[in-house]
Amino acid sequence: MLWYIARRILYLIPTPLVVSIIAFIVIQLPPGDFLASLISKAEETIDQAQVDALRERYGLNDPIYVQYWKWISGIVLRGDFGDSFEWNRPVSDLIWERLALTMVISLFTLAFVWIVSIPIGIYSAVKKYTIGDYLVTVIGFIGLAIPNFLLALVLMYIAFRYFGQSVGGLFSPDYIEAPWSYQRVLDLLAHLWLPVIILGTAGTAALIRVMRANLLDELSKLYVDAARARGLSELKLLFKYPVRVALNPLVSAMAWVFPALVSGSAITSIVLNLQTTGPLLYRSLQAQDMYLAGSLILLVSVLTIIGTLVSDILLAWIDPRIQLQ
Amino acid sequence: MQPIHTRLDNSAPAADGVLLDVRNLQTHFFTDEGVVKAVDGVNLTLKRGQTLCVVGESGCGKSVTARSILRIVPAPGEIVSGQINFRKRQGGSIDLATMNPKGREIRRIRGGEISMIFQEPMSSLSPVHTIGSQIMEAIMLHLPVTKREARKRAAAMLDLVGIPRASERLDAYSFELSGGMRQRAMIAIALACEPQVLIADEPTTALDVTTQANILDLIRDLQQVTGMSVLFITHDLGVVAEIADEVVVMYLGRDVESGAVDAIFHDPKHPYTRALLQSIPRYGNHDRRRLYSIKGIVPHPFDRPRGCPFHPRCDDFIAHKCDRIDPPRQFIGREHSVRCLLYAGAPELNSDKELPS
Amino acid sequence: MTEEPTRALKDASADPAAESTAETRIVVANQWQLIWWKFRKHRLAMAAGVVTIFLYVVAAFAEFFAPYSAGTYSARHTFIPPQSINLFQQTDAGWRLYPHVYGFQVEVDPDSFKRTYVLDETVTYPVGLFVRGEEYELWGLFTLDLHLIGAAQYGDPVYLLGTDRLGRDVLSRTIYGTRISMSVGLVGVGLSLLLGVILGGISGYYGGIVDNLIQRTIEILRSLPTIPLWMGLSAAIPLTWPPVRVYFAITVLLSLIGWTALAREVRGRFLSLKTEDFVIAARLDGVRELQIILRHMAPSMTSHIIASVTLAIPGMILAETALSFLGIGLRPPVVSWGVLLQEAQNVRSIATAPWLLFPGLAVVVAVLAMNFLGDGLRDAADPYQA
Repeated sequence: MLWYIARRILYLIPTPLVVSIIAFIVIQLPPGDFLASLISKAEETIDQAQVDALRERYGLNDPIYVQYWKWISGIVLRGDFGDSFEWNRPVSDLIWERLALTMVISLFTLAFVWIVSIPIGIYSAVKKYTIGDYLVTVIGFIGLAIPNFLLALVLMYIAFRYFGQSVGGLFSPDYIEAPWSYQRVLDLLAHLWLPVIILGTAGTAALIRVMRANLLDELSKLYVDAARARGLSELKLLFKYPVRVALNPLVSAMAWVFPALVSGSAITSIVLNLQTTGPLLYRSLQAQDMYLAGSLILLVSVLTIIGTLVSDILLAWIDPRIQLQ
Repeated sequence: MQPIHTRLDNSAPAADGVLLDVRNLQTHFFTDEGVVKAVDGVNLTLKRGQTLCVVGESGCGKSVTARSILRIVPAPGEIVSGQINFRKRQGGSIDLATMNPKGREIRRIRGGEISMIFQEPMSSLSPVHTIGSQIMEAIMLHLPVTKREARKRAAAMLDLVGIPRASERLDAYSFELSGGMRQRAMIAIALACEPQVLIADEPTTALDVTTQANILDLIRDLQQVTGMSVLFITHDLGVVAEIADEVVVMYLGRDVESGAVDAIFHDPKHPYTRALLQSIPRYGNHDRRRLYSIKGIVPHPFDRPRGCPFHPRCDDFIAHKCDRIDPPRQFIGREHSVRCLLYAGAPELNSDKELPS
Repeated sequence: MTEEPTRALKDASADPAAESTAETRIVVANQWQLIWWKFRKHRLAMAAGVVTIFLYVVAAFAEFFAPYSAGTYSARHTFIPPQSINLFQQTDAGWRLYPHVYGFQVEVDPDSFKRTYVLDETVTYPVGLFVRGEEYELWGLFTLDLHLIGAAQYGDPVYLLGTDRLGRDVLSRTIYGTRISMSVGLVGVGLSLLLGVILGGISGYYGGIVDNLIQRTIEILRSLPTIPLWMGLSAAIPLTWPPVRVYFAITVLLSLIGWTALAREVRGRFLSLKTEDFVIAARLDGVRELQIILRHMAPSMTSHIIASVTLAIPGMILAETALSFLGIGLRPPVVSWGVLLQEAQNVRSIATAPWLLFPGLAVVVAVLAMNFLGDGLRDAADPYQA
């Protein structure tokens, strides 16, 4: 087991590296450098000597790989993500809380997706080709087809139009800027359900289908008949054998469901105005605040990579066959 | 081997020694496209301590017959008529065919009184549970034992079926065992509660030849120790010759011929049985003729021929007769029955219905 | 022999060992016939196929299907709600067939200056099929003025799905959006397919280090949160680029990350085919490697690839919609469903004009249809399996 985990981690090492390069490319991509955008934003004109001094200070005259090294070593060694020009603050001041909130939302959504999709998937497979099954299938397909942000818009519109409420945000106005407290956590939890449902729809629909297909596969396996022939009752049988086996691919599905959730939350958060990384990234991209944007992409990616690793280990833990491969 | 016997009393007397008596069993599959009559009138009688072999080509309904007995026929399949009379250990006969397949009563029979092993030992064991947990499950379902006792008994069972280092292997997963070992483990599970009947559904088909022989020997040895009856399903006539006391030959869901093993092998009546026997390659046959093969193929289940289901492939086909009359089951010896019109005229024959039960 | 072949196929699955004369037709049918027979049984997938074809026809002939051009606006007719078509009109002589919409009058609230439209049932505008309207050039070849549906008299204000803030017809723009949105999916998947087939094929065929390398790359790409990445990359597309270039840049971006699923599919197929007897037989016969791949392996993979491609398109459509919706994908004057949905970016604009969400419905329908279609194709792709 330990050996397996070690090997997985070893495999994953190149990933953050690649991600950091991609993030760096994103930072470098806009035409000109960030100094140009800084200058264009500055209220007074900056003379050439000043510009040169700044260039020197930020190492903009260095070759590109040196710049990359300066950037990444700053992050890894000192936790220094550079400065946000729009906010005029170090990037690291801005991102941690939002990153944490992104994770909270994603994890809650993941739990929601699992709790909803597993029982429905089981029901759908056991009652295959019944009206209930067809209903689940059709709703599942529709859930997959509606873009998150559209669902968010429609729900917001319904809440606004028929309940006269404007929903959205993760906190009540009183708590947005408040320091963390027990009440603030409660307030967060009270606001969490809407984004969780919206974000979870597509994932739930997908996992119901995965669960149904897996279970159908397993239900027709001989070991189910063998257990039945031993005198096990249907319900015990169902949960001890086929459901148990069918859950394995679901755990490995986490490896892609989780990135998809984090990914999907970016847009939904913008629509719902949640204090997560999505809107911050969006704003930083629009403002060409590239160090902020690059750091966000890097961190969100690293977090999903960790999520993938966790799901791999979890799978190896519940499925003894995996470690053998 | 002795400590295993805790409650064995397979001697509950029945006058004729009949343990399991299947009469005119019909199991049909109701698919969207129509009804597949997988089993369409099968009779078989299993006596105490004996081995009954059901032989036939793939798709003739032998597995469905076996599953019907335990009531584990998969979804669109249903028993539509017939009786499955089983003499319980405590005495008293019950008809398994009328039981609720999900009910408590049949579950007590399964594994407790009638066990079953399957063709593919790999897929009949759960991939994510240990061998031990699956044996213990069977034991604790049917015997009043604690978990610790169950584990002890499970180890003893693995030892009994010839798995070395049994108590270690309790914690092994199925994928860690070889094919033969897996089938031994399956047998251990099946026999853990000392059933009266073991149904073996082609248990050696998926194994290589030497392992096959080992498993057959094992089943035979265990039969001698426990006194259980075995219902053995196979398409391999060599196996039949080796282990059977009685034989039922099936074709398209029918028992076309049944009788004692000697009668079937030395005096086969039904053209299908004869053809089957002729198509076995024989050692020492030096004239290098082409091996006999039955002409044609098994018809599609929706294309069941009228009359005798075998007539399109039969060498002794009687025109305007075999394709019209469905031959009834007739006894041509004390326990030798056949469904064939060739023997219909014989005066000493009785039709099935007239036979005293 | 008289049996439906598809039936026989299913029957065989009910009892796999049973063979029959009824299957003779199946034996002689080629792979594509088998796939078609199996696919035809899947009602929902058939219906989805029809919808998909319809969407692509609409995309190809958008000028004909749309009553107006994508850019036509009318400053006097902003935020007009959808007009419903009345088929009959009551006259002195009874009811007569006269498809029309009612006119409307603008009322300006004296306090808030908010404009509201009130139906004016005294004014009717006839609506017809195959009407003459604005001139357009179909595919740059023919100059026509025929429209499938629209005001029977050119110039009447008929807006079946309402108008946006500039007085542009939502129906027409959604129809034009079909062209871009549906083709982004197609082009993006085309590029992904190219990458996926080449890399997946290499990976599956050669195995070893190459395979390992490509698999790791795929794993890395799959563990990335795509939308933030897409956001980052597409935000870098210079604002000065012409629309066509932006369009291609976006599709390239989408396919750069989207190819992984296809590559996996191709690799898996290659791996399983490599050990198939007919491939080994071909190799033993001394057939050249390229020949083996093209003549023997490729045909048995095509159906699976088509199914995967169909299932990949909806993802592309959704991604394009999402990016354009945020304003970092395609930009006006290009009309895609995502660009149109930008108009409905916040609750306030939706509250004023909920009909602006209509392009979203088009997205849902398209994605749903492609998903169902792909699902049916995937089931049918392996006709030899039960």
